[in-house]
Formats: sequence, structure tokens, C-alpha cells
Amino acid sequence: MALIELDGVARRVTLCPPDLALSHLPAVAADAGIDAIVSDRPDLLNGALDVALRVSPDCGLSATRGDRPEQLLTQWVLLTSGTTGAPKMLQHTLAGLAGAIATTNNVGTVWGTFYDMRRYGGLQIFFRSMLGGGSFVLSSVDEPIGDYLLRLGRHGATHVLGTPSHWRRALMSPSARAIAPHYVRLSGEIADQAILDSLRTFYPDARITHAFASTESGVGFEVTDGLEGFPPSVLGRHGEVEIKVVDGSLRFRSARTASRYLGDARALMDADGFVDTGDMVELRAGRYYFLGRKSGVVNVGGLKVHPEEVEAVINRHPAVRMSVVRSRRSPITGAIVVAEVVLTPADAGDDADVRNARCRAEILRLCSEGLPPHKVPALIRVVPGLGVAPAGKIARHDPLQSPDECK
Amino acid sequence: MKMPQGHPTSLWESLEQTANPANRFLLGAEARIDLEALRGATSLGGRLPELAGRSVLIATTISWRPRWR
Repeated sequence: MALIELDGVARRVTLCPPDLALSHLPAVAADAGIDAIVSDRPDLLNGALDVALRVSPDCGLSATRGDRPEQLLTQWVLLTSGTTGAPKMLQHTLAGLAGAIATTNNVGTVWGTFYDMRRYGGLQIFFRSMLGGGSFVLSSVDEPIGDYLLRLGRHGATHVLGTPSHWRRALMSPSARAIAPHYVRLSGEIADQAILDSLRTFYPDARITHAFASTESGVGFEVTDGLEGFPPSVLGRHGEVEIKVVDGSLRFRSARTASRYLGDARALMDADGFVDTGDMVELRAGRYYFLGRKSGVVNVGGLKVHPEEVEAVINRHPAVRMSVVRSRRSPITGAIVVAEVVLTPADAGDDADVRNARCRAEILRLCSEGLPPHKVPALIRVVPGLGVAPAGKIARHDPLQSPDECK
Repeated sequence: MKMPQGHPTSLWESLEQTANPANRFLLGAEARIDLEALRGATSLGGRLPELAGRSVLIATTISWRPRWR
């Protein structure tokens, strides 16, 4: 409610993600020039930040009194996930954030998303429900995914969105069949063919799409043909969005991109106004495929490995529900590739150890057949679950990897 | 800075102008609120004028609490 009230009134609104470490708050407040807080957190209301005005929204709804203050163009500041170090802060406008939203007034649409509303992906769905019509079933930070699926089902969610990792976890839940969406969309991570096919199997009546969007570049494009990657026709100028590939990385020029970083001297765009997404793509047989993040490349004996392309091969195994590929130091090659996989539940009577060993061998064979030798995992470990970061992306940082373990 | 013509309206204006708010809702884990109830309502206890023109950090743990005073 505070978002609705403050848009057009506040000079700038900065959304604080629920997982933001308190230690980052002073820098966020300084960079955004914060001079007021709206919060129900006692630590913030009691002086954790030095600001002129503190307002608690924890007072219920009441009738407005008097006219709204003069209308401003509010700047919206969104924080990136900040999995390592401090989060980046991106400044947007409502016009840019809403640029991809059609005002169709579809009253019957019920939106749902696994994204937190205080991040770009979740805020997009909030805006879609507010500006494009329809209703919105919000997820809650600590709510188990099965409970959220049940709520989505009870309230007739028609359009449900999340990252591939969100969806992989959702499909592992017994409540996955509680929903019957008309529209399923994945974004925020690479949507490989395995997750697209799994969603098609679970929700045969739904339109399964994946989209490229990020806090920096805004909503770029949507792929609706049910296949991983995207056709070359996506490149070029389409309406207000222009897309090109330079040195293998995807770049956008659009009114939907953030206008600038706050508190960071780096330029968001190049001299021509293009944002380098840092997402690497490769043209194969007439279609572009995502390889992974430029910053996530692993160097194995001088050869590059994108963990995501190895995961895409592993995820093709029918018993794999989720996987993550990481690097481990190697005295010989500098690094080796290792994988952790989550398997579908075993059939009753299956010996878990025997099944795990069989699956590991089959996954290794898949990788050997589909990847060059340096990309084949040296170790495959079956794990009960994998962490998903608050932004909905697979947790690639391995907290268990101590320096000793790397030796 | 005034809102230029042709740009999207604010979220508030969008809510005020929406055609069929009666059938629309926002639903959290703990509560539901109909969009119609948001019209002419505030969760800021009349303190919106104090926040005008400021740089505001929104750091709420719960999106709203749907009870009327």
C-alpha cells in the first residue's frame, strides 16, 4: 500500500529487500540520499539509521484526509541480489518499469510469482496486476513453496512466474498440481529445455514461455515457442527495445533499462546507450543459446567452462530435478568442474545407494557424450536439496567450500 | 518536476481510474484486500504530506495490514 501512496509523491523510493544485511543499510541510505523511512521493523524505527523522518505503516487502513501532495516523477531504486558483497542500486522510472506492461484490463487474470515483491521480478508482477488489470497473490518470504502453491491454487492463479530454480523447486513439491495456470513464465536464469519440457508435462494447458529481464536492462524479450534459447529474429529493434550481440554478450538499448547506478561510478551503458547484460550467448544451427554469465566462467586448464551449459546437459537426465556446477581448485588444471544434483524421489523398494550410483554413471555418460572433456564433471554428488538465493537464482557460492577443502 | 503528458500515470492515479476494482484483490499469506478498499485509503496514517518530496526507504516486513480504524 505504501508503494501506491508514495509513487508520485516521494522524490525517490528505495525498496529494501528482506534479506539485505543491516551492515549494508548505511551505504544504501547514503547513496540514495535517504531522509525518511517507512518501515515496520523495530530496529529501523528505533534509530538504526540516522534519518529525519520515520513512519510506521503498521496502523491499518484509514480514510485519506485532504488532497494528495503535488505530483512528482518518483525515482524508483531497486537493489540487485548482491550475492557477493554490497548490492548494486539501480534507478528506474515508473514509465521504464511499466514499459512492457499492456494495459488490457484483464480483470480475471490472477497473477502469482515466487519473486519477492521488493525485487525487480516481483515488482514487475505487482505493476502488471495494478496497471494491466487483474489481481495478485503475493508470496511471503518465509512461506514454504508448497503452501504458496496451495494458495495460488485456491485463488485461481492464472499467470504464474518465477525463475527456473523457483519452478524446479515448485515441481518437486507435492502441491505442484494444486495450480492450473494458463500462463507460465520463467526469467532471471537460463531456461533450459529440461525445465521447459517438465513444465509442459505438468501444465499441458498452459502457455510456457521464458523471458529475458534484469534489474539493469529491464524486460527485454519473451520466447514463446517452447524451446530453449531464442531465434535470431529477436535481435534488432522491436518497438522501444533494441538488442544486439557483441563479443558473445547480449546487449540492450531500451527505455525500460535503468537510468543509472546509484553510489557506483561505473557507467551502466556504453556511449551508444547499450547495457551489456553480461549474459553470454552462442549461435548454433540457426538459434541462439545462452551459455552463462560472463563473470561465472571457470577456467579449466586454460579452457573456458560456463557452469550453466554443463547444468543444462545434466538436467536432461530424467531423474534430475535440479543441479549446480561449481569449480574446485586443482593443482594440475587450475580448476576442475564438480556437480551436485537433486534427484526425483526414488520408487518404493529402490535401494537409494544403488540408484544414486546408477544415476551418477548415467549423468556422467550424458556429459561425456554432450560436452568436450574439460567440461565433464570430475565429481558428481547426489544431494537432498540445493540452495536458492533470495532473488530466486541457484546459490552458486558454496558456503561449505573452505580453503582447506580446496586443497 | 511535473508528470509530463503521455507518461503512465502514478500507481495511485491508476488505482483511482481503474474500471473494475470490485473484482480485484491483493492477497498475502495472512490477509486479503480488495482494490476497491484501497481507493481513498491510506496505510500511512495521514503522514503522506510529510513524505512528499523526500527520498524514502521502504523496508517493510509485511506488505499491508488490512484492518480499518
